[in-house]
Amino acid sequence: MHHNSERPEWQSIVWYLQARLRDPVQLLHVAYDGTGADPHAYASQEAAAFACFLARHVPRLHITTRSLAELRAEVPQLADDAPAFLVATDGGWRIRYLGVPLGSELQPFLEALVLLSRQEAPFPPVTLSLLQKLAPVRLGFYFTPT
Amino acid sequence: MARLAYRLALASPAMRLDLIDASLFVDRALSAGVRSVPAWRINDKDAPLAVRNSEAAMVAFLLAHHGAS
Repeated sequence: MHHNSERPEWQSIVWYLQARLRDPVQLLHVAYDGTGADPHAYASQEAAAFACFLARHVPRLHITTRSLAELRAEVPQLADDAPAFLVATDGGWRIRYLGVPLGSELQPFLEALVLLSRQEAPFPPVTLSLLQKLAPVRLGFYFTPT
Repeated sequence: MARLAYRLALASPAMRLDLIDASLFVDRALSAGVRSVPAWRINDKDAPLAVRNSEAAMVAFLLAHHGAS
């Protein structure tokens, strides 16, 4: 499906990612399908357009779209809200962005994809070795994009 | 601070990270007890005030309270 709501400024995303991505990165776009708590109509359209744009223009991003209802059958613990973008890591879909990673949240999102793709260490070796041994923990970060 | 959140999740295979646009998911944020943003929640509890704006403090807190035994 092609969305006509691509924004001209998104072209810079393609340049940024094409120059930096190495290994493929898998993303899962969770689309709102009318079964969530809030329609989030505008954000859902924007999310769909953004996912479609990335899928069309950044070959190293492998993007799958699932509706909230479909996802409930596959990863039920992550299927409680939409729109959302999930990032595949070595431990499954551990990173979830609830919303649309645009505006002030775009650059950190892209940087995370690049780190993952290039398997670059996100911390110095000593800190990293300690963080790798963390017990299971759930981290939530609430913000408002500007 | 979103950068730190992503980096922590990429470094920690046992971590699950939710980045939540509180302006879009207002009810979710309020029910989580979030009254102002940015806000960190660790295992659905407020992160201590002292760690919220410091990368080193956040890392130290996680290691102290959730590090491998």
